[in-house]
Amino acid sequence: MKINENFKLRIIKDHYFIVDSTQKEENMVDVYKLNEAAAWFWSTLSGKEFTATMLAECLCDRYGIAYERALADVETMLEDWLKWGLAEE
Amino acid sequence: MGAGRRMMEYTKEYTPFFSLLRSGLWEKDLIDLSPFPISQEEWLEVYTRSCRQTVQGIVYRGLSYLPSQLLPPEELLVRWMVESVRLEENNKRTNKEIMALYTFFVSNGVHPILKKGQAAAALYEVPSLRVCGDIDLYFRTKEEYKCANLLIARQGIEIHRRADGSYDYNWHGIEVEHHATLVDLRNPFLSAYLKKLLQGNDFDENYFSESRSSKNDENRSSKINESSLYKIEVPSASITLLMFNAHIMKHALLSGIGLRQLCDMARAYYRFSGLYQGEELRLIYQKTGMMKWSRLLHSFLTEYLGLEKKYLPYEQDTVPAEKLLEAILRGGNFGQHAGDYNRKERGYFSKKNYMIKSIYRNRRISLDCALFEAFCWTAELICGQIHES
Repeated sequence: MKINENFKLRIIKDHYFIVDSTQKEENMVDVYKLNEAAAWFWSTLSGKEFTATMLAECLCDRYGIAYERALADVETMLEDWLKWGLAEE
Repeated sequence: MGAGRRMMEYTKEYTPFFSLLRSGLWEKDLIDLSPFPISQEEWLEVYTRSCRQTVQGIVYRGLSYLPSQLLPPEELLVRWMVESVRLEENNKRTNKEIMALYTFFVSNGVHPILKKGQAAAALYEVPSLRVCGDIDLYFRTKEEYKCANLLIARQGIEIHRRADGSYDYNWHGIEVEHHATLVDLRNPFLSAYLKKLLQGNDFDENYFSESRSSKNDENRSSKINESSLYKIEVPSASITLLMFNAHIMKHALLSGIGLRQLCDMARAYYRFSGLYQGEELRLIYQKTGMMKWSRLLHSFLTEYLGLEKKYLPYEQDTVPAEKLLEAILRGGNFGQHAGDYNRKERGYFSKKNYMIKSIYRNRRISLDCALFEAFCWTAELICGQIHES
């Protein structure tokens, strides 16, 4: 899986958003709000192939949480990303 | 309202805007947070003013230096983020078209020099967030200039002669201008001097990147990964400074000037520091009759844009810069926000009428700083418009 490079990450302090760079109309642009962990994934995954298990391991290392919980969170997140076109298989 | 009172109101009203602009321009923390927090309406004003002066990308950078609790409402923050992405995409597209155009000319034996525009963007810490305008190309000889115009016309592209003698056309959706002069000075007694000056100056290769350049990059190009770049010729540091300065002066005297061009000038003085002789530039300004104007400009750059005095080419006394501030706030981007501006209007009388009004509005600067240059420009534009009609 990889992230859709047409979406650009924007970070200002604790505000994390991804913005669709392909839409021309200023008032019709897709924007998604991310949490800090999702924004971290987005910035580190740019241009790379990844799997849910790889991300879960990263989450465990970074936040010290149990693997099962991390994997469940990552799977939910990736399901949404695929549904919204933010990531592609 | 009197001029003094009006300026005090301006200064107070614009404090949050200028604080953020300075912070974004130099990528530094805000010196004073006391103008914040500001209301939702005031934030909207800051955003609108930024767009009007085409510095919304620089002010956007300034937002990163505000503490989280002082940021604008999320709805506006998202709007600014969307705008920042749009700016990046526009810059990417413009850089691609510059390269295509440059390749086209070079393959036909013509070698353009990139004036201002994207060459100015390269002076910023984040070039992709500078609003990009037209592509301005300069040709060193009359033959190359004529040949370039002909090459474009032969592509089936409509090319127009402008009042100042330059040509413009639309290249894949981007406005391009061809210029036979590099420095916007019209005093006929200076033409021999300028010709000699340009002959004695080399042109450098500049690099463009879609990505962010190194924050501490003292040299314009050396630390950027060359694989993501392309090269195009630009004037040397001292000629670029003269060119930027004269261009700002021309617009301040005639149609009006916006903050983006002043930001370019401040960045150029900062980035070129140590790459040219300050005394040499002072002599150039002196010989071209730009000393009084430059004193006003330099005072504005240090007082309002936060350029440190050590980056100016030479020491000078500071003068009040309110009249320049007033002209900038009145006109916005090249005077396009002055009440009676209509870019689409190409009629002879309406253009002439707009120009005369504009010159009259900017008379405080012309009378004080560059009367003869204003006269020469006015004469040239009137002749050019008669020729156009």
